[in-house]
Amino acid sequence: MDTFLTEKHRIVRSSVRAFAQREIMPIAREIDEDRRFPWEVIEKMGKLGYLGIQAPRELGGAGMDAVSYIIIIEEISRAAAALGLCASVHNSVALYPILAFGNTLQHDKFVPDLASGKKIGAFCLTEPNAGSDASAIEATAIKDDDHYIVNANKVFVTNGGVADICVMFVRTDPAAGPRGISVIVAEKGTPGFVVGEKEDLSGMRANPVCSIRLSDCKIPVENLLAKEGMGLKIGLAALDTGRIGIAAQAVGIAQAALFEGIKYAKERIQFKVPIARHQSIQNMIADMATQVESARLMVYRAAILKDQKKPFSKEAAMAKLMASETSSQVADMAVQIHGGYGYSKAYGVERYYRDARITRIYEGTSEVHRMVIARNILG
Amino acid sequence: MGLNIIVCVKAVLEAGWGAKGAGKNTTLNLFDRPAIEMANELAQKYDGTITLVSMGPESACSALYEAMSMGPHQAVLACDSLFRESDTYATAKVLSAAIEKLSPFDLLLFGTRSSDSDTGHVGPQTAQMLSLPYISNVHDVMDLDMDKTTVERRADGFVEQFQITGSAAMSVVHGGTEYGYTGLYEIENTFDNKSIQRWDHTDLGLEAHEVGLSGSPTKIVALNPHKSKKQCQFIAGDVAQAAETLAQTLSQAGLVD
Repeated sequence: MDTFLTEKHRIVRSSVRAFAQREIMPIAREIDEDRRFPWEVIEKMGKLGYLGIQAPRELGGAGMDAVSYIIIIEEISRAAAALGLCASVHNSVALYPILAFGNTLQHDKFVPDLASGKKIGAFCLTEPNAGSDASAIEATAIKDDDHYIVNANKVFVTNGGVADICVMFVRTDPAAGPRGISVIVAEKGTPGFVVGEKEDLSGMRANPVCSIRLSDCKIPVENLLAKEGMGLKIGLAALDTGRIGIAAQAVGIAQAALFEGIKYAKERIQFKVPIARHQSIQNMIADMATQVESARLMVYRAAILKDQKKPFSKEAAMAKLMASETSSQVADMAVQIHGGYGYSKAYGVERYYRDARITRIYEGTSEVHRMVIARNILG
Repeated sequence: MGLNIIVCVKAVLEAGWGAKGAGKNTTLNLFDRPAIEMANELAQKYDGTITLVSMGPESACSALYEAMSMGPHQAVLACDSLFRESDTYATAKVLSAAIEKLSPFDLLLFGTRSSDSDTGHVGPQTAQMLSLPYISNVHDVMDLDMDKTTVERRADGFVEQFQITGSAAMSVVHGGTEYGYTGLYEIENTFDNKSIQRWDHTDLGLEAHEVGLSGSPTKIVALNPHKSKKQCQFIAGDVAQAAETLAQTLSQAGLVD
């Protein structure tokens, strides 16, 4: 894989790897068990630039490329996927749409705090009746002089419990169907902005995934991104970028599972030899390693295309589909290699198994990704 | 003019997360980090410039960029195929030639040892060739002045304070500050604004016979992997009895009195 990396990328990797190993790995199990969002680590991540990876330097970001971005997300996710998720969502579906579609005033207002990690971002699209079908959202924003009156019920908001700045999808023109959807930036603290209870999820438990409800919330019109009606366009652009991040996250989980699988297979003695000497285990390890490398290659390809400013939508969708499916399969095999111990929380693979599962669902299910890919191929 | 600090560093092979054949890329020798961190502190306090000096192949650049991302302003890589297979004496010869070329300087810092060959020779040998006083295992430079510099080192349960005049060389141990990670901004800045100068043996005024294998008084004749064997013994039975057996076993092995 190093063939694709520059010296700079390798330094980024060794630096983020050192951070993940020393600061995240030791608390990964505890934050999962206690469903704790580790602010002490997030603050450090902010200072190191991990929360403004691709934001321009003049706005307080690190000004790095997409390849650096996926390296960072993979390494953090390898240590604790819930924190990789936080960074991925924050960088690519909260910060990115503001950068790509916001005006200078909006950049100055939101980007420095997000890029430095002083504030955490979230992406609010999903509603009880709108998931894969994003055009079915019911949230409304009715213009009233210099502000919108927003009513929204957003669910499964990643980072929801800690987010200050939410990229919120609303319907500004109820009669216009998909063309009536817009994006406004909602800030925590605005009267009527209410954060719900933390979801009791199977995996990603250190991430405060919550519902966010806006009741007659007055949001200034200057918080509208681009123009009214551009919501779906912004959403799709954000998700194209987001997919690369989630794919990198899935690779990180898969890599962690592969590593633990190999380690255990060499340690565990059955029939008087390490189980790694048994062919059935060897086959699993070979398949796992091959799948991880394939997924990683696809993620790198999507990121490289993005850096070259070439179309990458199909490749990002393929990478996300492949990496998330791989992550589930590899984590499953890692549990199998561990036998009964793999089903116990005492071993990391039990967490990887739970964490991997969601990557096939969020930021577009595998099924939606197949739709996107097929549409790209068939036209 | 501000302080001029030189830090000698080494590029070592990067280890993965224990995976076999993790890579042939280089990374900064872990034991050099304290020297760079101390140089950063001093450079900040006395408005100084930090120059890194290293000997190694082209692949060592990776480690030098990594090291510059921690703060140092520039780097020199003594790089020449003739330098291959240098022992610590020949390495010190090359480093001291590079350092002389960078003179005048106020302070020359080293890590205590390298994580790969672990000799700890290069610092003292280089200092000797440059006729500089050398203090090992320094953890703090209290104040720095060409007439009177005070440094502290820890040894054998004591803190020793030294005073030196003029330039000096020292190896640095970790002063107890938190492990510093390199931020993305610094990495990006390093690649945009800092550079590595490469010097070969002619740049350094060295003859071919002074460097590499021919300039090395010690030669490695064999290199074989050494495996230490671990033994694991399970002690069964109830807790009190197991504790008794454990104590006896450790005592018989001479591990406790």
